[in-house]
Amino acid sequence: MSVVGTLEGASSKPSAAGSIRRRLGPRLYGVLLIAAILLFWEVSSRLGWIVSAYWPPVTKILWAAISQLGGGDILVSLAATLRRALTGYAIGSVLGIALGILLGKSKVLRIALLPLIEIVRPIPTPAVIPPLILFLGVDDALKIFAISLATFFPVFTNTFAGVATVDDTLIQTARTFRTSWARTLLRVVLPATLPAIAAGLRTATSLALVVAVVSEMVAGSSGIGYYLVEMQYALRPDLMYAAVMYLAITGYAVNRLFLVLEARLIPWMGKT
Amino acid sequence: MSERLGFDHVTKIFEAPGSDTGFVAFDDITLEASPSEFLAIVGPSGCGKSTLLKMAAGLMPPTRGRVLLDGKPVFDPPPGVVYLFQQYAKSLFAWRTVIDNVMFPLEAAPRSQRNELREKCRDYLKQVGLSGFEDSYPWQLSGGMQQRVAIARALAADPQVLLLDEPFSAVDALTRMELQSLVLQLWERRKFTAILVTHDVEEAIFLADRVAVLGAKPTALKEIIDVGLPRPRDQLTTREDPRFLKLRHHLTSLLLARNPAHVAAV
Amino acid sequence: MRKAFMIGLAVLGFFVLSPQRATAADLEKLRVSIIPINDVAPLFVAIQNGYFRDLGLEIDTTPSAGGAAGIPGLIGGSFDIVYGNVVSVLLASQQGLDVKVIAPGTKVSARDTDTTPILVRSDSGIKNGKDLEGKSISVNTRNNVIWLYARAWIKATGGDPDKVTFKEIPFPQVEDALRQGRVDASFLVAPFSIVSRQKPGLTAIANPYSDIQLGVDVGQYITTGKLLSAKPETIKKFVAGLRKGVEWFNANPSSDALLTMISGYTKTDASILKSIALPAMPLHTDLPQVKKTMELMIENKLLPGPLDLSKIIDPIAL
Repeated sequence: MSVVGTLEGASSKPSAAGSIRRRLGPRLYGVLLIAAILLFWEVSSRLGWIVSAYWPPVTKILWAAISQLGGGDILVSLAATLRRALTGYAIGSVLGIALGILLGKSKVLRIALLPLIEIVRPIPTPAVIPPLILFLGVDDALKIFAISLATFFPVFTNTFAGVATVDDTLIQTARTFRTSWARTLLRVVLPATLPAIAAGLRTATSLALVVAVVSEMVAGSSGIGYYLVEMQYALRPDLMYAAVMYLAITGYAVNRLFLVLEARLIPWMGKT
Repeated sequence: MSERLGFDHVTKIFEAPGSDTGFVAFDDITLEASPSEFLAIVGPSGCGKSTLLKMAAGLMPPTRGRVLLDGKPVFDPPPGVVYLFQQYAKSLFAWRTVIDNVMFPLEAAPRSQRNELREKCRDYLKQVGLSGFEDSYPWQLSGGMQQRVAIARALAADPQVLLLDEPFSAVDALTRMELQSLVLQLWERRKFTAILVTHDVEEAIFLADRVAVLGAKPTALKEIIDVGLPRPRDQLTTREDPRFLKLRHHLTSLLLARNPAHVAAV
Repeated sequence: MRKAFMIGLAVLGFFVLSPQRATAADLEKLRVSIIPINDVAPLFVAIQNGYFRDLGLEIDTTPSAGGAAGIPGLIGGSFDIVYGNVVSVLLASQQGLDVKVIAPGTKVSARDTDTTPILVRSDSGIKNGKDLEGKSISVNTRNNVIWLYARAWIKATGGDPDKVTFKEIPFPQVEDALRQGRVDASFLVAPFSIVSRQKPGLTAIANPYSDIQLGVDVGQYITTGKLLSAKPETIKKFVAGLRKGVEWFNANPSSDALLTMISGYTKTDASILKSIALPAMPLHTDLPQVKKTMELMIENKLLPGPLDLSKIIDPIAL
């Protein structure tokens, strides 16, 4: 992007239209590609190139998506999913950061807890949802637990690794100012680890959303995951794809929001 | 008991894996600095000078012997002893503004005093020539300015003893001279004990009252030299003083002597 | 840090320990796990017509797509009653789980209302189990009722089920898989079996339930033995309400009121539902039929030996 900017600056006073074309240039091709794919989709469905109950024309999906804006199950389902994802994400993040820092700094805790964490970590969260139903039921407790679990690992791993890379000079600086252990953790180790934590948190956002949807698909009666399956069984692929579309928009928006917050709240990221 | 900080027969042995004896960093060092003295310790790179300072700061215990502050053994970082690191960039808090970095040592104080202390910190920043940079972040400043922030922060901790661990070695020559003069100025005004570790002989002579020379492994104290140059010192006149040059000659040859190859070359 | 940690623990604790749902009305509440398909229509009839309310019950249905959460949720205490299939129930019982059949759900009572065929591509030439050897067939879940009767049909039509590859494909994806040749045959339920034949290219070659065991009790309402002995009256009321629903259903087959209602909970278009012949619903569990299913399970090594059905099927269901 910055290269494009330089080239623009170098060209001598381009016309207004030319400038727009130049600015859009690289993106224009991307947009065109997406448009071409959608057009192909539309035509293939309308002309029956692909015979399937699950291949509705794009326009039908768009229409379904738009009609949902006036109040419909998708937005309600999406809200339920986001509420779960956010709750689980918050719990998983807090635990991940707290344990990441504590284990990073305490050898006793490391010896006690790290083996357990390392054993549980490779288990894909969706795989543990069915057996967990026995203990946690099929409601929010199960889903939020699964989301917390999925969130916990990237946050914990990044935090833990981040703590290890905090420069000893920083810790010694705090010590020479006679800063207490707890205060050093909170005021020195935590902020010094924040860039690493933020990376973990960002990875975890998409995971939280995915696990929220998957858990609703397995054991759902509400939320966008359940809605997806329900629409499949109800032979309403237009609504199903509309829900997928809303989900994609949500995921994209969350990621953008995260990047903006990151730049604003952790300006020292990548510095020093 | 006249000395402020003393090393009393200090030996430091680092445990080396696979060796019973370990690596002896230095052996049986006895050295003291009196209040308001500027003591320099010179030695070749890698002789364990920084280790000596870290023990003085209570960051590391000696294997044998004692480190004494006002006659009392030092275990943990004692109050009033402030350490100025060579790697200023790594000792500053990147997530804090300049003024908040300087505030760090004062944050244990009650909330009611915060505003007053903040004003004080502004003054420290003024003393190191950083007025107007209060709200910048350290990583937005040059290396020399970053070390000034660290110095202002050291002042905020109200040091009785300031330990300077090659604090000017990572900046360019001109900035180094400016920072040396700044530290001298502050030392003369505040009258703390300053202990400087450096491999730069000229810097040691220029700043210190006495220069302790370390040499040969395991490192032992070779000689302590009284500088005796008049104060206030000046980057131009002091460095041109024949006594300065004579001291430089003496100290340099002392340091080079530890390596026979260099003697042969001279 | 510690504070944040404690808050995190407290929040987690809150969600883990908080009650599933608060009871407001003085009606006794039963939580029923269902699969949103035609099979549970009598239950919804009974709810909508107020049969349960008249008996002092409030039925809270929790749809579970595909039904995977049903029995684990029942054992875990999330549900009081679960709609499940006969094979799942017998398997659960065999595994020592405390399940009891309290009412029948669905029954394949007549060939002309059997909407669960085996479909193949019309040009495939596959006609029987023998033709399927070396080929593949899709079922929704392995070791389940669909799987069991697919195997039985293959065997009955001259094939060796062990020479046929069974693929797990969820019902909604079956049509695409079949048409694209990713599977050679599929055992499919309504409405998918109906909708997928509305476009040319797919043919039904058999109705395994009708062919193998006409009258098979496929679906069952189950609860735990614990709940049954703790609240026998409540369960009795549930079964009574459900039976009234079944009677209404059987008296009003294919009525607009029924189709609108089914469309309401399945979200399927009423026009699609119209094309499906709805079978009559059973009032009582047919013990000999369950026994036949059990024997098939033994034959296909789903069960090591016979179970004491009188301990699994409560008299209330008969």
